[in-house]
Amino acid sequence: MPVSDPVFDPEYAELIDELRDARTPTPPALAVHLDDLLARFEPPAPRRTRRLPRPRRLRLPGRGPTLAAGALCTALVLGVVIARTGPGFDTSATSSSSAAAGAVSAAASTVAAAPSATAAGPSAFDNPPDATRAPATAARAGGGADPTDLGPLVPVSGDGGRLQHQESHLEIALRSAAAVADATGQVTRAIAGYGGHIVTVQFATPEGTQARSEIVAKVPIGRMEEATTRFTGLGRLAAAQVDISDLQTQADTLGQQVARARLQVAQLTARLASEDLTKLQRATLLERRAEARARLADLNASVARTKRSAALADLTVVLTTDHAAVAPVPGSPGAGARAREALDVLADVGVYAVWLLIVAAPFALVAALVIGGRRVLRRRRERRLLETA
Amino acid sequence: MAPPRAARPACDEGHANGVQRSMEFAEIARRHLDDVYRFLLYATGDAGVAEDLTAETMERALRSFDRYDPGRARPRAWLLVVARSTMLDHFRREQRRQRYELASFDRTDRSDGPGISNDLSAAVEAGLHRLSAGDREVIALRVILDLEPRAAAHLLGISESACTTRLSRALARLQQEVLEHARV
Repeated sequence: MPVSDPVFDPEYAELIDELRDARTPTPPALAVHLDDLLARFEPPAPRRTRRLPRPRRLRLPGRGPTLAAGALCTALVLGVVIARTGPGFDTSATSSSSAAAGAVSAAASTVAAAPSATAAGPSAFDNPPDATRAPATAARAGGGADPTDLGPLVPVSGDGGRLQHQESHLEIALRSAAAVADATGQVTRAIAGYGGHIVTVQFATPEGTQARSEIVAKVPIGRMEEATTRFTGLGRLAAAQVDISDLQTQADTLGQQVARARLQVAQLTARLASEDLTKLQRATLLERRAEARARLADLNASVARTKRSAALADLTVVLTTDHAAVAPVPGSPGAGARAREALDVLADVGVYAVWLLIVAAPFALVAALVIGGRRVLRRRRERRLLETA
Repeated sequence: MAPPRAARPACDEGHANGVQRSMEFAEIARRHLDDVYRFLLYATGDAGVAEDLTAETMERALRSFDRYDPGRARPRAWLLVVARSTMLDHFRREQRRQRYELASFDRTDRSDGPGISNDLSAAVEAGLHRLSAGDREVIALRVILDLEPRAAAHLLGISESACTTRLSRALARLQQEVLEHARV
C-alpha cells in the first residue's frame, strides 16, 4: 500500500481509529423491513425463453459494445455483399464491367453503322461513310472469367444485309511462353479452317519466360463470331477492339457510276454504228469510248475490292504471356483461383472497412464526445450536489 | 425472515428460477445490510435518513436484482452503488424541496438530529456534520467500510488518485473541524 494513502497517514491515525472503533448498530427495524420486503417479493412470471447464464470465463462485453460491434459487422457484411453483387463491383468483376462497357460501346458502334442499311442514300448521313467508324474497346484488367462469357463481349458483325468492313483486335494473355506458341498454332490453323488466310505472323520471345505473338489475318465475315469466341477462350481477354465501317453507301455510289459508265459506252457504241460520221468524228468517238471502257473497268475493280473488303474481316490476334492469367476451366476452379477469390473478398472487406471507418469515424467521434461530455457533466453535477448537501 | 412464496409446480422453471434469485438476494442483502446502513449513515450524517435510504436501497436493489451481473461487480460494491444512487436522488429531492420552500440549506441543522454513533466524541461527531456529503461519502467508503482505493474510486466514478486526494482533503477538513471544536 503506498504511503501516500491518507488512511495510513500517522497524522490521521487517531482520528481513523476512533471512526473505525465507533459502533454503529443497524436498527433492528431495518432487518424487519428487509424481511417484509423479501416476503412481499413476487418472483417474476415464467418466461418462455429462458436467458442462458453467461459463461464466467468467456464473458461477453456489455450490451452497448455488443450492439455496436454487431451493427458494424452487419454493415460490413452488407457492404461487401452489395459491393460484390451490385452493378458497380470491381476487381475481377471490374474486368466484367469494363468489358461489358466495351461490349455496350461496341454494340453502339454496330448500331451507329446500322442506319445506313435503312437510309436511302448518302444524304441520310451527316458524315461521310468513313465517319461511321465507331471503335469499340473492351479491356479486361482481371482474369478468371468463364470463356463462354467472353464471346459476346466482342461484337463480330453488323447488319448482315449490308456491306460492312470489320476490323477486330484481340489481345489474349496466356500463362506461359509455351502456351503462347501453342495458341499461335491453334489460331493460324483455325483461321485456315474458317476459310481465311494469314497476312502476317510475328512471334517473339524477348525474355526467357516472356513471349508475344501477333497474328494478322483475313477471316470471312460470316465466321468472325465463331473465331472471336474461340480465340477469346484461349486465355484471359486483356483487350479487345472492334471497328465496323459501313461500305454500302460506297458500293451504291460505285454501282451508280458503273451504270453511268456502261450507259456512256453503249451510247458511244451506238453513235459509232452510224455511217454519217466523218473520220475525225469517228476517231474522237472511238477515243471517248475507250476512255469510258477504261473507267468502267476501274469502277468494276473498285466494286470488286469493296465486296472483297466486306467479305473478309481484318482480324489481329495478339497473344502475350501473363503469369497471372490462367485460362479458367469451367466447373473446376483450382486452388489458385479459390485463393485469388478469397483474396479478392478479403481485399473488398478491407476496402469497405476503410471506407466505413472514414465515413463512420466523425460520427463515432461526435458520439464519443457527447457520451464523454455527458458523463463529465453528470459527475460534476453529482459532485456539486454532494458539496452542497 | 419469512420463507419465499409457496412453491409452484416443479415444471414451472421460470418460477423456480425466480424463487432461487430471491433467495440469493436475501442472502446478499442480509450479509451487507450493515455496510449499506453505515455508508448511508456516514454519508448523510443522519441516522433517520440513513435508515429510510437503506430501506429504499434494498427495495431498489431487489427490483433490479434481475439485471445484476455477479461478473461485473461484487455484491457489496453493487449494493453500495445502488445506495449511493439512492442517496443522490434523496439529495436532489431535498435540494428541490428547499429551493421550492426558499429555505436556506444549513448543514449545522442536521447536528441536532440523531447522532451517527454514541461512541464518537462530540468533536468528531460535530466535525463530520460540518463536512460536505462528498467528504463524508469518501470517508465512509475508505475508512468505515475499509474499501480498497480502487474499489472506492470505481464506485465513485473517479480515478484512484482522485479518490485518494479527495479522502486526504476530507480527513484534513475533519481534523481541522475537530481541532476547532476542541479549541472552542
